[in-house]
Amino acid sequence: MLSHIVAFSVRFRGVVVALAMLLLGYGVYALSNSSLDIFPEFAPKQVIIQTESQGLTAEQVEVLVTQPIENALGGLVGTEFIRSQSIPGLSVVTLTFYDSTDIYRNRQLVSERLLGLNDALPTGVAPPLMVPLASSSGTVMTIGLTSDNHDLMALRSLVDWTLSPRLLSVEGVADINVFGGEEKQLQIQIDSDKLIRYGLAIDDVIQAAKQATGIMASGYIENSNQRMMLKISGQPTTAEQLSKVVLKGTETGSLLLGDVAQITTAAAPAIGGAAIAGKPAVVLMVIGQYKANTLAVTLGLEQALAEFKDGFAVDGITLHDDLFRPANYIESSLQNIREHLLVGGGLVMLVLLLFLFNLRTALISITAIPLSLFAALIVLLEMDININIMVLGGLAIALGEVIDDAIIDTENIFRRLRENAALAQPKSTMTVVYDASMEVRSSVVYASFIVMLVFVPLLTLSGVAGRMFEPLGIAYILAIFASLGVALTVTPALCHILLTRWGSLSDKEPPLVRLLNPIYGRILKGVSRFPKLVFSGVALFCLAGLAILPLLGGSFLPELREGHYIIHTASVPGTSIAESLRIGGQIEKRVAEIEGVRSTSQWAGRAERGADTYGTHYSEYEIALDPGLGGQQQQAILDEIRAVLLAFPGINSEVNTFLTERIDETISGYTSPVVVNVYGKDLAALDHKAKQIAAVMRKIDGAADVQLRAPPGEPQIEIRLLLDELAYWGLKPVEVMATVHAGFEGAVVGQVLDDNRVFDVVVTLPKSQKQQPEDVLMLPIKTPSGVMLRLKDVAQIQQVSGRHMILHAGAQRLQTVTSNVTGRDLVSFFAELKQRVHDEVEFSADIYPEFTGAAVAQAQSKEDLIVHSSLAGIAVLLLLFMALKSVRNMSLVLINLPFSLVGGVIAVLFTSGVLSIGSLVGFITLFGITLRNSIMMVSHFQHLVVEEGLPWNAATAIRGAQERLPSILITALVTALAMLPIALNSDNPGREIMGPMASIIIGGLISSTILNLLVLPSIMLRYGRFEKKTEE
Amino acid sequence: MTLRRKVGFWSIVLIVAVAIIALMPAATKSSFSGIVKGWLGSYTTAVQNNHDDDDDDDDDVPIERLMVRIDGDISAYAGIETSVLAESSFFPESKAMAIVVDIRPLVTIKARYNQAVSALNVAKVAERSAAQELKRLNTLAKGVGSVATKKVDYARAVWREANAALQGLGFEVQAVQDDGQQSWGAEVTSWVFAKNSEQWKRLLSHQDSLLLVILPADVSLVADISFIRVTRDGTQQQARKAYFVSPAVSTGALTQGESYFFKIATGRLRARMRLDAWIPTTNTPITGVFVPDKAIIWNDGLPWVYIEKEEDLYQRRSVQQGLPATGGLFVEHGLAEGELLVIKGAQMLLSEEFRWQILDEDDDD
Repeated sequence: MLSHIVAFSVRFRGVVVALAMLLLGYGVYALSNSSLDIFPEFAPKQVIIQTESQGLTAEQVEVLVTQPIENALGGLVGTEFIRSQSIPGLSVVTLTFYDSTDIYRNRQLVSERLLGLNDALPTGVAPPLMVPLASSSGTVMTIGLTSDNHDLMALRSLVDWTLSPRLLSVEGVADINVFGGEEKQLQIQIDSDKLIRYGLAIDDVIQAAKQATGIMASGYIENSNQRMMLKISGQPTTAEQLSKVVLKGTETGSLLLGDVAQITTAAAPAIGGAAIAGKPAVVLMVIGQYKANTLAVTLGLEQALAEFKDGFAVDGITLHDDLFRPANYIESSLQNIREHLLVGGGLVMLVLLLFLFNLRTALISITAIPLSLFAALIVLLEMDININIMVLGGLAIALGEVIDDAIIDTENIFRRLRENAALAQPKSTMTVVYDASMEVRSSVVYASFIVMLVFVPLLTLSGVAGRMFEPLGIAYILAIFASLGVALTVTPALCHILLTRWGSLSDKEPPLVRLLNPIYGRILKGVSRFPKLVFSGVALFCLAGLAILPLLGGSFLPELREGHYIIHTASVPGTSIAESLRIGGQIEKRVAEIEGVRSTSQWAGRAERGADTYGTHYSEYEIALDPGLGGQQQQAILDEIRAVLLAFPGINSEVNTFLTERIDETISGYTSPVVVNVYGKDLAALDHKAKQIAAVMRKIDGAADVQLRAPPGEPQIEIRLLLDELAYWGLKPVEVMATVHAGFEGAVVGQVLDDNRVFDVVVTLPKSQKQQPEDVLMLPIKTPSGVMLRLKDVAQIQQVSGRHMILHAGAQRLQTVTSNVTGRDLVSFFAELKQRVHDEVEFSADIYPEFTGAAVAQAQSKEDLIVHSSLAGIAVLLLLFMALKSVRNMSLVLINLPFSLVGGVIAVLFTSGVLSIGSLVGFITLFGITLRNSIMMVSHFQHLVVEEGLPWNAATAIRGAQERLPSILITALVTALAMLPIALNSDNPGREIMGPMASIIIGGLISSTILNLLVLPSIMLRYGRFEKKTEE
Repeated sequence: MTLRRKVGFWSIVLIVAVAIIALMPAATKSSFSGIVKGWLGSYTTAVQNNHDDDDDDDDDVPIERLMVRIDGDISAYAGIETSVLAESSFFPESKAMAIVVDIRPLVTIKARYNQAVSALNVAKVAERSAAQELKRLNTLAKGVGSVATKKVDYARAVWREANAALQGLGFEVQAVQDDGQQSWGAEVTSWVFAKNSEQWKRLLSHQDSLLLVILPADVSLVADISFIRVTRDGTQQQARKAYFVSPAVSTGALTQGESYFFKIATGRLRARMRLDAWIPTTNTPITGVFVPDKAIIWNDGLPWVYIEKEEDLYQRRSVQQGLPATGGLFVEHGLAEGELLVIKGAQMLLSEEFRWQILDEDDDD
């Protein structure tokens, strides 16, 4: 079939070239209309349900909110697992669906189940909300507002009612998380003492306020002519008007709301706070929609923000629109990749010209690059895969390789045409081009398929790595496949068009090849004279290289140079927003002093519907760096930030780049290598068992950082109702609870309209009476007989340590112990842990442990990878056998793999010294290229013996090697030089992941090419067998 | 041949093994590091044993319980602020309710009293006149016998009637006085019944107001107390002095506590206004130090403060025995004058002390 394709291409060369140009044009068009993002959607298919339960403790949230939601969502089709966390004031239920499911269908199913749930939740709990479907990268922009003229309440109102709605209307925006500011309420702040004096219950105030602020439809009047709507006006909407609402009639007149309460606009209870450069602020995090184009959304947002800028400036409001702009990274990455393509392409052209010494052949070869890359891009876009850094990375590492097939083909056609030109009776050009193409056809096809096959295991990786690197693998495979297609069609067609016209070809070899060939021949002879010495030297070299491998560090991804860092700090649970912001202010002050830091901002606590669901003791900081900083400068700033944080008392901290952060957040479950989950019903018993397990774990050699994941530690004021006292006064517990709720959380009694803005009217205690534990005791309570009591008359308070968080997995209560392991292998650690826990900790029927952790997940992933790699390996071996038709030669070709591995390892050692998933991809690519080069060499030996009938001896080996020298050198050099710009400048935006790959590929190519050219012929000569078959 | 085949075979085994090892690292986080650690466990142990994984370089110095050591530079850097504890005197106070007394009943009593006294005076005149008439008639009857016995008897009857009326009106006056005293106590009624009472005039002209202070049921007024402090808006800082007058006779219907009259010199109070009163619970001040609310942190059910013991050493101390005072606690024991109280950053120090409790929340799912 291939011969037909080649024949067709040579015959209808014009058509083929026209189709290629069409492909190029369409590729340019498709690329210019495609969306650009940072990473592929790497998050698992999750639906997160958040339920605001203001005022409830973690225990109450768990029982009253989380459990009903979990029960309602149980058993949904496609659910992989369900997890939940109950923290004070918030329930978060996370359903993770299998990757094969449809995310929109999943949301539909969840939505249907949630519909019937509202009645099952307690009063005052907001309806469960699905967190908007956002892209994995999440934030597309972080902006903030500060002002000297306006208070935080005015800023927050501006954001909630003006800025946010406008930004939400920008295409691609999923949600806006607003941190900080003060949410405006019209508060009826009751005076406890006055209530006592006038003999009034809080409920009396609530009822009076409800009757004053309720909004109801009034109906209409209609007669035979007209219908007119009824509208009531004059309802109290301001503090002053509300203060005149009658509360109770007395002998001397009416008692008004204003007599027992101060009515004022005040801030709603906050769940978070924010600051910019230490100054109180409102910070907005704009979340991008699933599969939205980050760059386009950013531009849309900037356009929308531009509309506000002048007005804000006039009002004395500062808009900080550059706190975080992920698009910067995309732009600089694209710029870097663009530069790489240009420089790499230039270097490739230079090599081709040097080696081929013919502009036309160089042009023919280089055409393969745009054709292959655009063909791959078109297919990717048709597959609904967005263009992102990983896709571009796949294409970038394919850059040097997509040209290889074309070079081999062109070089062979060029050589055969030259030889043909020297013949007395030259054959027809079409025949020569066809024969020359067919000559290398099989090796080109097999080699390309091998290069593609070694990448297949990458597509089977599980988890985040799988989702991240799959587009890279697909892009690479597609590009290689496209290059094969180009080599079989466009290259012969172009060769026929360009090499047979416009002047005759020189029958001489290009000058550089003429220069190199004799030198190479001499070296090869010298090497083949001392085979044992050479083999043992090479073996030692390879072993030394392999020995280095375990010394290298490891990381999931290299440090990304996004020009931005995210800091997390956490204090002990119970730390107030004010204290978190104070600590943050100090940290921001120090960080801002670091040279190269452009802006700092902080948010403490959380935002409604926010991805981060933490308590007020937790803060995140956005640290934006000056634009254009290189990798080393960014690293220096990172080191300084870490030093600042390390010195700071009372916090645990972490600094990451945004994307690393998102990936960390996305990896489900704990990232500790050892995790023991204890399941059960009784939280105290779970704590007890978990503590016992932690104690056992700490005693095991190698355990480090043993932690209980949800320890009691949240300070709480426990109000213990005295039932006898309640009975004496005729009070019901719920009446007391309702009073406490109104007093400290606030009872929403209605809404008031202010133009298009709606604010809650809330009955609550003033802030000054909600600060100290004693304030709780002074809450007024009215008995049914009208006696006024204080809470202390019917309840006792005690400050206790409660839980900040209650975890569920699979709708079961869970307590977790995690540990790192240092200085010993995980397998033996796990075995000892299981044995010792089994021996030393007793479990009852309703409490049982589960031993898991990243190590277990890794082991499973490794097993999968080994199976897939083995399958791919077998397929590669079969292809090699088909290409070489000899088991012996096939095994000898494989010797080149350690050659390349050694070079790659040395390259890692001399660059970052760290292996990442990107490095793995580099090695995979390298193995493919190395095998291709070996096949080229060995198949040519085979060609010489089988096709040309030469005897298999040293002369044939040297001739074969010399004839293959140009193509092997060209392909190796082209690939290496195409990678060089990335490898040299790998610590810069857009090159961080590809950089290590490029270094490994270059290092491996150097070692494997040298050994391939110098050692493989000797090995083949000594151990290889080529026999001319009679039937051939 | 056999040897060569073996070479081929072992080459395949070697290559496949190398390929598998190289490809083995899984996709998940730190897979390579796991392998690295697995392979060179003993090697890395040796390296790690030489490496202190705890970044706190103060580990070598043992720290007592409830102590936090923070480098002096870091304290300022972290924004910790202290203030020198100053000794002060403190009258512990309890809160009570005060009502501005409507003095109209007193005015009524005063009117009734005046009326009764007037009637008494009239009756006195009448009795004196009747007595004089009786005396005259008796003298005439005994001297000249020109007066009929009947007339003398009539005059005696008139005198007796006048005398009885006088006595009755005297009782009336006494009854008004008794009523006043029963309702208002002796002191207040003395202002009412006294002639030209300056205090009564001040009350009538609203220069002074009379306050009824009702103590909580379980609180008594300490002896020899001369003044208390009252306020309209409940804020202790705005309180004004009210001076003791007398115990009141009745108490509040609901609170059932002891009640007292106090007077306050302000023209702004209106009758029946309800006020907050702070009553000293001792008549001799206690000596100690004042701890503001912002210095207090709660832990394990108790209130605590941090004291800077040395330049870089902070000690957590309980202030459980502190007495509630405006904006904080007054602590008699446990804190000394001149010590440095942490007034900003106490929660951060607590966080540092319990740093082991802080989880890396990023690992939470």
